[in-house]
Amino acid sequence: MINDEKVKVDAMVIGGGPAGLSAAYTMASAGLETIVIERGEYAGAKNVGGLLYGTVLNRMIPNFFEKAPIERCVARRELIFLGVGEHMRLSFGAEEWTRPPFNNTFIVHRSQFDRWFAQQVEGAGATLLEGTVAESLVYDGGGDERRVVGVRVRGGEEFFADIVILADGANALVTEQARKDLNLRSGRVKQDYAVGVKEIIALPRGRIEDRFNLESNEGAALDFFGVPFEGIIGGGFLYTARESLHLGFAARIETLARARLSPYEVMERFKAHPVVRSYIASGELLEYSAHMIPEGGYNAVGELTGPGVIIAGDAAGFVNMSLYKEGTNHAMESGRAAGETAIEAKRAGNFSRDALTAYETRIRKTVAWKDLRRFRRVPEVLENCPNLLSLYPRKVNRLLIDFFTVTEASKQENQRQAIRSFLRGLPKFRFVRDIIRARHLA
Amino acid sequence: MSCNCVVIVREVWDTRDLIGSILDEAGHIKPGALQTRFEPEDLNALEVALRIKDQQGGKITAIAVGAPRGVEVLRECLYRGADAAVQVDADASVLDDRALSVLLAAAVKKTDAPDLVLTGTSVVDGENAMLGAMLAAELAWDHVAWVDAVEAVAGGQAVVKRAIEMGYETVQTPLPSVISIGVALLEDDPRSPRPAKAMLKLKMKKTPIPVLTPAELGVADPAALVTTRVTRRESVPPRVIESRQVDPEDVAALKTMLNEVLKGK
Repeated sequence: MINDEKVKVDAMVIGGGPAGLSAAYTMASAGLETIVIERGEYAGAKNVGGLLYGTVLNRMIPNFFEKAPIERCVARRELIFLGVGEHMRLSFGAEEWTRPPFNNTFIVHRSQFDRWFAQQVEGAGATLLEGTVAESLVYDGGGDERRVVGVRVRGGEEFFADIVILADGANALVTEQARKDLNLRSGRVKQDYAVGVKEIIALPRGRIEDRFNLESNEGAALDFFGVPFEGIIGGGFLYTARESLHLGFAARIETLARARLSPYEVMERFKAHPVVRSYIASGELLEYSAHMIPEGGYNAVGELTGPGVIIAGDAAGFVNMSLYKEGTNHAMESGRAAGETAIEAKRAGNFSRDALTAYETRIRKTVAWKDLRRFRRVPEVLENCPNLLSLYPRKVNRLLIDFFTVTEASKQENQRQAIRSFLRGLPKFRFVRDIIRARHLA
Repeated sequence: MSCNCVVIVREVWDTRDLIGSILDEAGHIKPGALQTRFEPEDLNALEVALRIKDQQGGKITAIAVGAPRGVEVLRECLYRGADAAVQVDADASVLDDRALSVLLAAAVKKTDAPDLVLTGTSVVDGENAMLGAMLAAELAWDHVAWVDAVEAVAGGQAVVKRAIEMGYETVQTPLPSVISIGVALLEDDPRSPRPAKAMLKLKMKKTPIPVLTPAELGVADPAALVTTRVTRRESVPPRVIESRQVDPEDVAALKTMLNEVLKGK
């Protein structure tokens, strides 16, 4: 109901990212009157680009990849270790990945993709309120009776709804305040944040395809670790978009501070590595952005529902920081679960805390939750086994180089020498322990 | 007494935060090199109109020429409190101020009894501060430029304050008049120009905006009115001045440096 005096709808969603839009799409499709509040000039304005896993979206909008602005499908993935002057890589791909459903892995420009998704949401009947900043929730009642009844936006206007879905992202100011106001339990461990830095580097289409050995529409997703990230917990990535490269890294903020490194310095180190340098040569920097990523994982997830309110996406901490680096898909899955919970609550006419805990039950059945749980030890393993991503790969890299170094010595002599130098300085017991622990990463 | 205002608004290139060169070899703006935004002085003009409306009532009509490139300036006007919006269906990027003023004058005449036409003085697009003056000439109205505030509208007169070198002057102009708005006074007020109202956004998001074709404005071919054309743009790189330092006690070094500087080394 929107009239001159008051706006009172079924649901309000704070945040027009993947989680918020999925929630809104689900609710609007079921006929709920829904408003999405997005602080950017348009949905996606606050984001740059990257990898999108599409399984959840494909369930909501079947064969979305035929209509959505996709830059390239990921036909090949690579894990690349960067040594000082050496490198090694593991490269794999499948022809099948180049055919629908493209292994559900796509490279997108989020500003375009989110805008498209927002249009689908509007098409489903929701109203998007872009360029509007949600400042706080509006409550009714006090103490235990306190419940969420709406949203206050910058400038003081208030809008009312039966349910508010908080999907305000990593730097979730509204969610944080709501947690305090409603006494929502925090996660078992404090949320940790990584900073993600990303550059968009323009290169002509043909050159990208030649340089990365790709057919048109095919893309490559490269993950980097090693020397440029030594001393911090983090790694780099390079995704090939249609006419640009997405180059960046993510690192735990705390470790950057400890190492007294600025994100800019790390980025420069990364870009200066010969492997990366040749990939981006002659490219023109188009955009530079930084983003926060909650990476505390499973153990940092707190209570997700209160009276009249549900938390989803990055605001809830649904990011998988393992090798798979999955965020958008989880955000969409939690958003969808939030939307479904709201639909049920609407049918029952009950938006109490008890009724909405159905969301937590629903979430526990999702792939997002199972993955989060499976990778719950990733933060701790990365913290406790720093050698995993530096010393060991460096040793292996060296071993390979030594094996294939051509000298006048006999091959046997060469190989013995290589193995000796591999074992030298390798902490054996810790090595075995770390390798066993490494199973938590993938 | 209520005062009806027409505000002419434009969508212009956003020249903030530029990365790299925006011009191609031929001296034209590269497609996609620039984003667009609501011309800030036009936004000030809208704010002045909204203040007049706050104080004495009246109707605000926003008029823009051209299809939106990225920002829907007319809808933004509605979100901020304008009562009506009219789009003139012509490609503003190929028209000069003469052609624009002919179209706009006809559009202004179609609005209901306007007392004032407000617009930004020197707009990023042309930086020539001409549209207000030419529009006034086309309408045969009076015109005041570089205005920072409209202080009163009463008794068939508007009293406006305009920036002059080292100060202000207050000018009285008969209604109806065209007033070109500057930046200074509004810049002093951190709340200006006012932001869009979320409630109005909700209500006006899908409101259809009426379109006037050049034919409806009595102009068969707007491009035929064009007399001035930009044929080339050149960018002048900012001059880099390198500073040099010597120990002031070291007379010999000072002499050497002066010699080098004087010889242009």
